[in-house]
Amino acid sequence: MAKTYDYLFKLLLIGDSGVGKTCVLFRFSEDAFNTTFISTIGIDFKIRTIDLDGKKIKLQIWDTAGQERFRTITTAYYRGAMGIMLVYDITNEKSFENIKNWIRNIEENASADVEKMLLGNKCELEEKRQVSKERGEQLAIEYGIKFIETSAKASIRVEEAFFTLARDIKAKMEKKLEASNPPKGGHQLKASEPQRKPTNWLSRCSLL
Amino acid sequence: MIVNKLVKRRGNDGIFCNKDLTRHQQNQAYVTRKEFKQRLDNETWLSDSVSSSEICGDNYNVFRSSKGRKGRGVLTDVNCKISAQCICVTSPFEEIDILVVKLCYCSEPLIVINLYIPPGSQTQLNESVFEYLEESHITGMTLIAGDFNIPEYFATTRYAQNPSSVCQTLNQFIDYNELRQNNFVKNRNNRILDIVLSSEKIKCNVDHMEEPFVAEDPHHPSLGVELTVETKQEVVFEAQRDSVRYNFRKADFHSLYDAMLKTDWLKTGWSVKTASLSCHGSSVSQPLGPEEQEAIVNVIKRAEEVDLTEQERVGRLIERLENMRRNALGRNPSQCLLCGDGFGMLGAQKVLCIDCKRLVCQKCAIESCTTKNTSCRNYWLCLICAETREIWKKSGAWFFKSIPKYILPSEKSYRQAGSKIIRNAKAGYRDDDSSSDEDRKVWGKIHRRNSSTESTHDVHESVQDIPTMSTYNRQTTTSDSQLTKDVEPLKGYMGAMSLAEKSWEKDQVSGESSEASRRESTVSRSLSEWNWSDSRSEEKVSPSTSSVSSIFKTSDEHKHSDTSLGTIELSLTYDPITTTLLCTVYRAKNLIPMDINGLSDPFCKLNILPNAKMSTRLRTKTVHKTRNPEFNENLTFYDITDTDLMKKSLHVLVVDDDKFGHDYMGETRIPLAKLKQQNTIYVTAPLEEMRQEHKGPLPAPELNQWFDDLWSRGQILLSLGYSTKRRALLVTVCRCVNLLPMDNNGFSDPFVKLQLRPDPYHRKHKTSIKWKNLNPVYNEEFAFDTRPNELATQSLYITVYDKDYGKSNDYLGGLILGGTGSKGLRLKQWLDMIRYPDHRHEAWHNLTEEVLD
Repeated sequence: MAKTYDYLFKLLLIGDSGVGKTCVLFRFSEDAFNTTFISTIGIDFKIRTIDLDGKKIKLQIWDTAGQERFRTITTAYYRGAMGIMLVYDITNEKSFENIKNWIRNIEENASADVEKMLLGNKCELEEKRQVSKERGEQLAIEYGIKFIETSAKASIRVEEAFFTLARDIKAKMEKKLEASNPPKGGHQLKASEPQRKPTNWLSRCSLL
Repeated sequence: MIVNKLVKRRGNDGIFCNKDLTRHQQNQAYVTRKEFKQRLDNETWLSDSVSSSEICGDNYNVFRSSKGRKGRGVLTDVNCKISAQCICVTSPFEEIDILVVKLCYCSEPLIVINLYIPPGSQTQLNESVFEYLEESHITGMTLIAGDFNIPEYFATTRYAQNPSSVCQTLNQFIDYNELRQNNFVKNRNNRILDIVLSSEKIKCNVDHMEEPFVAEDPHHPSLGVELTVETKQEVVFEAQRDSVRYNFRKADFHSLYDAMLKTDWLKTGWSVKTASLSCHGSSVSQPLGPEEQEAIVNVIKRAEEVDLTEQERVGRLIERLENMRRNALGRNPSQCLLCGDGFGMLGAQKVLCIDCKRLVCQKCAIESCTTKNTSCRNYWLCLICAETREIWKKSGAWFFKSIPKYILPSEKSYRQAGSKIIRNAKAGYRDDDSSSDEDRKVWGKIHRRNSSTESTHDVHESVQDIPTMSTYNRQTTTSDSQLTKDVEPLKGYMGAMSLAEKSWEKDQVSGESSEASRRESTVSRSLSEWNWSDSRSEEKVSPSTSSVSSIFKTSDEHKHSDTSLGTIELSLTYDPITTTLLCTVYRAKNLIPMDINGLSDPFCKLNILPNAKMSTRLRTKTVHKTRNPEFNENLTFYDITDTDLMKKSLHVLVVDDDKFGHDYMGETRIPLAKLKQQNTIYVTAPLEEMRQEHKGPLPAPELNQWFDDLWSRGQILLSLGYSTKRRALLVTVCRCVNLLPMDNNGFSDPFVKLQLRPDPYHRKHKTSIKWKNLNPVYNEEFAFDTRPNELATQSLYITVYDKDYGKSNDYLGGLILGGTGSKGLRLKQWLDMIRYPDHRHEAWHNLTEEVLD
């Protein structure tokens, strides 16, 4: 109750188990990192309010379990999400290949105009890299979404990723609301209420 | 059996390049008046500047692929009655035009392919075209027609000894797809350039058209095609062309199960890095442990809290908007909608709100601009519409496409105040409460019987709790409607929440924690249901026990009373010290339906009569799509003296909120004299018909005074009738009254325009102009040729204008009668007209300020 905000955006993190979704979120919400691996149970969420172009935006970020056994729970949260971050691990080829499965999952379960973003996590482990940055970029282009390589551990571009996604959602919202009420062109002036202006009245007077 | 008239023709040079000529062609089509189901044209040469409606009129859906180049373009017109869908407009081949339209007459869709292959194209190209058609479009029901430009192809040379390579390709194509060539009409050179291919299922009869739609080309005779489709009575499950059908009943389920068990799912798609999951196979079905369940429940609870704050926040926004709406002062178009300032030379500068299309002053509007393709266009938004847009942003409605669930601040305060009583009640009754709604309803009924017949063991509570209970009982009867109302916005995020809960409950075997969570959620649900009954009990502190019993009486009474127009429940509290009269409008029941869907959008207008001041009019918010609205709203009248109580009465008017004017749904008058003896009265009053003196064109002056925003634009008397002899709708514009003065002389020069939409003949009618008259009498009759079965989808647009010379006419008011877009009396008159042809149906209607164009 204490904090007021202008907009509430619901975001979702998905990706294979162990790619670092929880750590990314932990870094963003608490600016901290935990090296021990604790598998997320089902779902969890964190909240952070950010300031974007003078508007306070409350981000409710849902962290999902990557494990298959929680899939029924996690997919239920797709529909409410306005933005989804697809996370993979750059040191794990398989997690990258699975991104297309996750995309398919989104297409099946999420709202059609959900904003998506691709995140290659653990980019500080350059020596163990299996997925090149170019491949990530290539995949993102293929799906027409944005791509950022992050590191939750070294705190690289995590903030940037969430801000970018929030900014995209906000832009979409503004565009959509403008489009949903398309201002019609001049004809409504003609057919609308009588546009009686003083000049008209005066001109009639002078005619008389 | 389906008969198709299909015409194939060739455009002459220039015909379609010229707009006027196109129109000429369109007229020609009407002159022939031949109804056809579809029409295919080749070489249309249509440029984009020609609009589709010009080609064939409104009755036909036009699909076209016109590249605007010389000698190119294909076009398919389909009668509007047939549902058609264009599958492919842009041909994948640069040189060749292909237009594929899917038509649905029967169980299986008919694919109509309109093709144009320019002369001298390569055999290879033709091959790839045929391949493309084979792969993507041809089904069991296909019709291909078009100019193939293969002059050496004769129907008779189909099995010739040495066909050219082009003919060979075509023959292969025909054979492979089990098609048939149907066109044997030869052109002047004794050749067949236009080829009509159809599937085996379709019997196709091609004839030379005697009356071509357009001037005939010597190379391309106009063809009339009659299609007969043999529809077998087989059930087709799949309408999709490219999907494979399986017979699941014949599946070998045993081996399927085995295969599924044997499959190493972990290697098929999903990667796993965790050690705990190395035991594959069983992990998928592994149920959730108790700690896991608890963890999830905790998360869901936390999420519920977040949702609650969000719902409250949205509620605050909504309330603010509702207040703004209710406080709007403008009563007629010469005033600002919001602040009520008059426009004029000395008054405020007026602007038109782009969303609600109403006039507001510049102070009450915000100027914004859209940037579309770098061109910036300014527009105005009234504060209400600006706020509405803002709410759509802030509540997330922009994403979920409807306003999500919210809690109004007033409800919240009731909830907090009432929670103590609930706890009391819970202790007494709710221990054995089951979670399902049905059970609770039964429980409520039992309890009602108990409390009404005799005092049983339950009545150990204080008297104060009894009204709570009784209202609770009533609440359960209406809870269904409220539940559905609540459920609707759940589509979005909340839907996901409950889904998650459900799916998780499915997953888990059992667990105490889940029990706890479920109970938790029921409690929170019951809380929201209770909140309004608590509001009752909260106000109930002032009246004595005698008034408590009066609730029971009134609620019993209303069951027996005549409720043809429905009833309204409200309470009145008079405070002599502050001289205020507080009206709480609870709900209305069994209101008459106004919309075609059998529902209404009611709101209440309250006024103290007689001699009401303008400022004493109050209104509730509108409750949409219901006949049993729950208003639960407090409205306060100020400066009510004791003498007022004796003389005056409260007038409650229930009105249907509609974009095109408000409609009367019932009224009631409650004398205030009763409040002299008792501070609070509860009333359940039946709604009455409009009083006799109000009928007719002129409402009673007392009503008129505060109905002026409803009836400010005047009224019109219209008579409708369908003449089966003339096969036409006859509309008589009898007269208008109370029109707005638009000219400087204090009068208007009104005339009435009539238009039936959609109308294939685009007929418009106009009455004569009655000079300097605000109550003109026309008695002019107009006829619209139409069929009775079309009337249901048509609407009559009636607009009244003030004739002006030297500038555009002023809009005086309008009205829509018809199956779509009208309700109430307007809908009734229209339906009566359809139901009882050859009769005159006369009715008065209010003109609305809504601009109909």
